[in-house]
Amino acid sequence: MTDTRAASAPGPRRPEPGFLKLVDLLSKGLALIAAFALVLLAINVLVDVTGRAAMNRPYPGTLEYTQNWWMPTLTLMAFAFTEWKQEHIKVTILLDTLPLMMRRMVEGIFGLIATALLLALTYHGFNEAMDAAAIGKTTSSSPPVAVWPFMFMAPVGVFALALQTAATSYRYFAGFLPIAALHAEGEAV
Amino acid sequence: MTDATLPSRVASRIGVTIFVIGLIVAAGSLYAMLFADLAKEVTGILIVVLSIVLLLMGIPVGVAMLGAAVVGLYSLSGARVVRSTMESVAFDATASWSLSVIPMFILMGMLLWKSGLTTSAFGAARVWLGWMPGGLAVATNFAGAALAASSGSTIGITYALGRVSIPEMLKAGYNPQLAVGSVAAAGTLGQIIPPSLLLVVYAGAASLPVGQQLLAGVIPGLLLAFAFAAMIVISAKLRPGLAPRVDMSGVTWSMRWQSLMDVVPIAIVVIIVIGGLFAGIFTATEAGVCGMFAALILGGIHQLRIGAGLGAIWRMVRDSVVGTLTGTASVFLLIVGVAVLTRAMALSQVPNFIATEVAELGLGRIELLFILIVAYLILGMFMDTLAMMLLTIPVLLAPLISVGVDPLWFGVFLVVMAEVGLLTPPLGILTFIVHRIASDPEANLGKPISLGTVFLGVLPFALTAIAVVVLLIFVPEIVTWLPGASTTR
Repeated sequence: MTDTRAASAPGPRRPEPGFLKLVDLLSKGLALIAAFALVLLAINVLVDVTGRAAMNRPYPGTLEYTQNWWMPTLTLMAFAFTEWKQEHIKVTILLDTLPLMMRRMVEGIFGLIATALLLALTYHGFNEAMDAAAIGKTTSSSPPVAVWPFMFMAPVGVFALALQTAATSYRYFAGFLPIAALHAEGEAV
Repeated sequence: MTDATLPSRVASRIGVTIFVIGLIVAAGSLYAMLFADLAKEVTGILIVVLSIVLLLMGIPVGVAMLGAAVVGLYSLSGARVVRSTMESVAFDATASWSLSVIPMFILMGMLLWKSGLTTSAFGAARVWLGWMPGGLAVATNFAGAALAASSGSTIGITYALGRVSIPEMLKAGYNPQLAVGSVAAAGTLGQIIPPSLLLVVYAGAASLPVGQQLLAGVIPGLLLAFAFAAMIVISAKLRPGLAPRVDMSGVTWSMRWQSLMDVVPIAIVVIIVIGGLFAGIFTATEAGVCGMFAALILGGIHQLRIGAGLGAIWRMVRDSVVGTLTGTASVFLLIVGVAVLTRAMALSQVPNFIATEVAELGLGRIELLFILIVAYLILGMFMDTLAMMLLTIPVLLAPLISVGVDPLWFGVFLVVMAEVGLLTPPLGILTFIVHRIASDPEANLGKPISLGTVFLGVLPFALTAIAVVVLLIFVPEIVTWLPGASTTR
């Protein structure tokens, strides 16, 4: 995993437009929801394991909740935050060799292409979530677990990622480099 | 013009040239897929080419795969298939029970790292193994193996070890190449010995049981650690100047036993995760959750023992959660992309085409795997580890199975080769991290260590890893025996 710090030459010190701050705020807000889902996933599985081991009574629906509720929430809601921190996996071996100005333009333009693709994914994901809501989609387990509310995590998470990617592009074009690129800490992999 | 600017200008010109060629290739691939009447297999190959070009342009790898695969799907099957794929892929790729082990393993590793528990591993290995030829490097290596068994984070292990062991080895008069090389090599064990994130991702992409895939990594990981140790000892024996003997006269048995007490927390986590998996007590996710809670409790106790307050514990948890969220999201964006890519590859029939060609060429299992060693060495030079794995799994798995390669075995082979890619120039990320650690004057004792020194230092370890891979090819039971013997759930 690489970051974009190579392109982080000192940019003009001027305040960023308000809409960029709003996008960043949205990403952080969704990350809080993701963190909440992470905690709930851990507690849910722990309760299941201890219930099974201590009382021979596993917590019913753990697999369904984990698969359909906690996992989509914790992953999709963190997409935009990860882009804000510039920690999505990128290969920058070629970009690192480009002149700074050219690199900014290239990252900006290809960021917009990525944004368009993500918006298409948002649109189709939203349609799917609406269809699921219309039929009240549940799992086929007994008792059934409602899935449809969490299917909206896909369009919401991908849309936020599209916004954050567009914000990153804007920062490249306008000479504001992604803030987080300056203090990225690396990743856990 | 100074001498210093010349190479960067040349590199810049080469970069711009490659960039322009990439743009032309991307445009040509797009045009051909959208407007030309191509055979399905050719479309499949163009999808892979377009993926590689897009990811080299700096688009997140998952989105690059998604974009190329969507165009390919449209070319192969039309708009209806594209629509149905895009409607469900983001939710379906993330809604997975088996992959829920990923955030738990990351969180467990982060908690162990941020709590400072991992730093005791080198101290313990040092007092037990320091007497050997190249003892400090051997200690670094086995400390890496111990940390690998409690954390799936290559980078976490490298940081934890490098900051402690590099200055100690340099102080003892070790050759800088051996000092930095042993740290980087120890880091590679993180993704082979479970809990390994890469093995989980592979199991997900190849639709294999996660628990069995994780167990498949245990013996090859240990074998790799012993091979690295043997290489260090033999090198130190042949060239005593490489690693002068360390005076261990001050180390008493009570110090040795005390050092073991310091690594008890790590041992507990290892027993919970690997022992629980092997005995069939836990599924992989349950092992991850229990290991994570153990790391949380033990990390908290360790923080209190060293006199840190509740504020420090809160920061440990907060930083670990943030690292987990970004680590998990970055992996899952890739998984979304690879889900679409896998569908496109299946429709293009490229895997079947390769399987047929392999059969017609008369290539057997061993010949094909030797070709793959070379291919992965080349790919590892310019591609990210996960990207390299996930781009090739949909293409290669079916042909490999057709020549008798066990998919569990191939997962381990792939992860070891991916880890070798972390060491090789020009994109050997682990070498850059070790170089960053070794650039700190406190670590290098005021004697700068160049990137070239780091690359030369990791070379013997990379060759040793390849030798182990060759051994695995001829004795595949090294990988497949443990999963077969376990009662994993």
